[in-house]
Amino acid sequence: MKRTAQRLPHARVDPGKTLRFRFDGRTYEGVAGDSLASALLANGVGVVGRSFKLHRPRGVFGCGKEEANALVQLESGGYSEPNARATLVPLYEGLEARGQNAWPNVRSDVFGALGVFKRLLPASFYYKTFMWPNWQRWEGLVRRLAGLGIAPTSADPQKYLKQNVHADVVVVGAGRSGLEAALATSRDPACRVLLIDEQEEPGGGLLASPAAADRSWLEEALREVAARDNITLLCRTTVNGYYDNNVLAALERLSNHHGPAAGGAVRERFWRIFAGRVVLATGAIERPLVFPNNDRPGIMLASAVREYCHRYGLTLGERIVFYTNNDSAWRTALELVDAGVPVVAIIDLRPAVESELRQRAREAGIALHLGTVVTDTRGRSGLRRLVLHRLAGPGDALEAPAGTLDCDVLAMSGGWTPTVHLYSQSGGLLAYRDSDACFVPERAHQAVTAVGRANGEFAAPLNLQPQWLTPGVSAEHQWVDFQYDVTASDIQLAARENFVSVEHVKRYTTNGMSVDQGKTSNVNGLGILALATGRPIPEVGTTRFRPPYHPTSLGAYAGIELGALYTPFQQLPAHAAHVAAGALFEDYGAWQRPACYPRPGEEEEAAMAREARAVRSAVGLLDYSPLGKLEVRGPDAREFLNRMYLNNIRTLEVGAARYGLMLNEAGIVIDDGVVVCLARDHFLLHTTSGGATTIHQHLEEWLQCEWTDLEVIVGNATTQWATLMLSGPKARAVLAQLDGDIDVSREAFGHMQYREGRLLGQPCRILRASFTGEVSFEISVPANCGLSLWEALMQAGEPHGIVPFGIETLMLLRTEKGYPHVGADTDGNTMPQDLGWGGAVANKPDDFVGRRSLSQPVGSDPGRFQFTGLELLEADARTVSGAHILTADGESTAGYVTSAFHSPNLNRTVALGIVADARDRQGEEVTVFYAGQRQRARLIKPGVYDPAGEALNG
Amino acid sequence: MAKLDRATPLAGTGLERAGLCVAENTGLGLIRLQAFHRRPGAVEELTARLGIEPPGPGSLRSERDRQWFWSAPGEWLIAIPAGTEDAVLGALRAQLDGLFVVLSAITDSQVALDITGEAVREVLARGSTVDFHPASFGAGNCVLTRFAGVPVMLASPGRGEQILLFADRSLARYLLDWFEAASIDC
Repeated sequence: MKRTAQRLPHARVDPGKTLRFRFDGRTYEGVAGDSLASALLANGVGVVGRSFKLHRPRGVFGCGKEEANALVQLESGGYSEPNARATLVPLYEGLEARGQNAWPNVRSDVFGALGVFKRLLPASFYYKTFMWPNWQRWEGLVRRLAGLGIAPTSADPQKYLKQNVHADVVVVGAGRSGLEAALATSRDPACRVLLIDEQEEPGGGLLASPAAADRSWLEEALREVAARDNITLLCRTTVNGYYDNNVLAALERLSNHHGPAAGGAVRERFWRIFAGRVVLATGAIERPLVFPNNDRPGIMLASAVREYCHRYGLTLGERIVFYTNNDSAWRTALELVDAGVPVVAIIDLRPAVESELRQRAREAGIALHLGTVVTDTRGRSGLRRLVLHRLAGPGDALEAPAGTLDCDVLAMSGGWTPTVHLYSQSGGLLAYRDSDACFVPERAHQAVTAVGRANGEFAAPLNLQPQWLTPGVSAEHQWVDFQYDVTASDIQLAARENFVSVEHVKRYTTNGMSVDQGKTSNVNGLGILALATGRPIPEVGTTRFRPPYHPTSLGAYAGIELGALYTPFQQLPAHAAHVAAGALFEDYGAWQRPACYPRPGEEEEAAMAREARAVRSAVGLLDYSPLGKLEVRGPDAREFLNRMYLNNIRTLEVGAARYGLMLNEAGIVIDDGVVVCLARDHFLLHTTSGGATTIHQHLEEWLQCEWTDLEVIVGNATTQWATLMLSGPKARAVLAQLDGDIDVSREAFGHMQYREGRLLGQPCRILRASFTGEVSFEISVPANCGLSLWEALMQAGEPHGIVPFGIETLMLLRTEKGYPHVGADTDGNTMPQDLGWGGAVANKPDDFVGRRSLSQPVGSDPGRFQFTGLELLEADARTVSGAHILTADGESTAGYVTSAFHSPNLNRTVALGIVADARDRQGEEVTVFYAGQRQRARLIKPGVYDPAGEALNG
Repeated sequence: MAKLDRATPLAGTGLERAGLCVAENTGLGLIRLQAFHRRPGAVEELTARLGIEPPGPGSLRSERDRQWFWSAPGEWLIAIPAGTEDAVLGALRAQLDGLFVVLSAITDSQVALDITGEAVREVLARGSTVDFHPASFGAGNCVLTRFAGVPVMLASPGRGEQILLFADRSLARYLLDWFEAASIDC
């Protein structure tokens, strides 16, 4: 490969602006406008990578997204990016890259000798070899020997965004066809057009055209695009996926071209595009030819040689030879000669070529070898010589040796593959076109049109004669998939082993897998499969294209949903007070709630114990605001709730509250809470904390779909009110200190009663219910007053020893009391009778949701998991939620511990569980199993603290 | 302490960038009007009593110092000057006496954010799939949607590029943090 200091004129680079970069430890210089690949080529760097399996030296082979060899590890640390295609990396000052899968470097890789053992490492080698004792035993070794880049281990300091956009027309590809489509559709000023191109600048194939007419057409078209307000042009943006409902996903590279110097700028933006109609102007990719040792550095696609010349001003060799089966390469060769590039010969496997092309080539001084194939290549780390044979006829055996030909670059063209990936992803059908030996769009499944070369519309006839592999010579070293080291013999092996489906062959051989997803290997691979299985190509078919079209950063998928924004969070009205009090926050659903308030140096369990003792002996304050608050109103509200709850709501009096269980249609308990009667036709439902939205939807479903005759309106008032729970024997004394108009005395305000009034100048609702077993007041004020009420109660409670307590402490307290927590002490099978509510079901005269299901046989099956208390029998024994209760034979599970805490008030473990037939087995001993340990426990009635409930009325 | 203090969810904090400003609007009181719309003629009767036609799906309507936002079938959010909730509730209850409607003050349950700046539509489109192009979402439009993963109402009242966002008050800090991260390039 030639080192090129001077660039050809008219190239789209700025030779006056030098950029320094490093590759594999050496420093080089490129110029502004270079890609990393063009800069490496300009410096004569022939070997840029090592192959995946055999570590064969590989050079730049393409010029864009089709590149299969020049994969590099870009930058380091958090900026490190594996498998970056050097052809797609714009050069920037200070760029650092390394070749992959090589040690110590790609020039002298110690594993390069593996290529000698090619015959021992065919397709399926892994599957057949690493069976004993298991794959994991071998994996470490294989991963070291084979692979691509290395995933970064440091956090990525760069930023990523996601963006949605709607457009009437989305044009993918801003080459000639795409620009024409965008300009035509945008004539209607109301039509919003989004024009997307993956290159650093728009123009597509025109960027590599030397024709003055093409360049001026492009300039004029871009001027027109810029002038139209209804066209949005996105460059450096690759459309990666095409989904249902004309939704496309695209990745925009915003600051990659600055590298780490971009600092905190947004690196990439992930677009979700909602399109009315899509125009795919994605062009076509040239195919390589398959012949022995066709992977040697210096062997490139003809289109790439052309682009490096016209776009980057590079003359890649001193003796460039073309090898083709179609006319397009001839035109490229002639064009390059015009630009002063030394093309010395054209080898064409076709016996005859159009006379005008032959004539022009001869006039240009190009030697012609028709009806000839390349049967081998020579050169240690770069191409030096070709071995030629004459063909007897199309696809026939070789006729006779045709000598050798010295060259340093071979520009090959096996035809063109329209870029139909997105069309296929959209559900569109492809058809094989025999004349051009390629798949083209046939029938769209969505509102999409392919245009230009993506639709198989080539500027001039190809007159192509397919040759899927070189006949008459071993297929062993005829590479098909350069990236994954798949050769023609691998595909033949798969066929011999009876793989018929192209999808199976792909996976068995890995042809078309890896990061390029077979952009250059798919069609050749299925051509070889067709030959090997004796079927025509349309019958073999092609693999289904799947997103992403091009590798996408995981950071782009994550966007800003990282760290604290990983998932939405909800905060309590008195959040600031909890922070100030040193709360240990945990997530309960989306709510950030204090689990407890550890003092400096205090462990969580110690904090919970201290808080629990304070609630039992004095008073505690809990932010209970997420408690569900649904207001149900209307002339039929009472009837409605009586149908929704297992409990009798008909008899609930104004100002009174009642515990209620709610079931679904299957009779499963889905919620419990307290129903308060505010007025004859007005009820307040306190659902489980965090369950308000779900229960609201449940109620609405019955109202809107089943009982449309009931005049009921439901409103969710959960966050309108801040609710603080004041609990403990001194709760009443604390509350009485605050200025309000509600009489909180024992005589005036009993358990399960509700009052409305004013407290410290604000509207106030107070419910006397208890989840701690102590006297409790659930005090609600408008949410904006929640912080102020918290401070007022803490101040008023100070003389009484008030402590703030958290949710975990509440759970401890209610476990001491044996109160079930729906969702924690129930599972997806729990029916009311499993909780001891069978009597209430029998006594309720009216029907309610779930009742019918309760009478099914499953409801009385033996072995149902039923709610129970658990007493651990060994002294100082501990257990945890999730521990198993074993069957009598100790072999299987007959229940679980659902809540377990160390009780500071009883100085032993208190536990609840759901255990098979527990209600009939009270007093029996069972085995608790957790983490390999077995413990003895007894089934007891839930609620070991204050079983008589005297504290409730204190 | 004689009286409880009121503190809005963001306590006046906001976000100010060159291209985007997010500010808590503490000047709005909010009332929810729910009508029993399944009864034939209920909405027509409501319209007759109110003397104005409440806005239909996807739209808002301004009337004197009140803004009506459609929020569900038979349900509207009414934005009024903060502190006038009781007076407006009283007036509406008198006006609608005898109709089966539910009127609730929900000021404290919501956070209202004024979102302004030249990048407002671009940033909004980072959180929702709604088409925020002025041709699709212009003055007088409002939409209930999933934004940044949470339910919100977004409205374009018609004052330039200002967008009004209503969300549950508990999400206020999350949304402000989200806007800060999503507008890093603005």
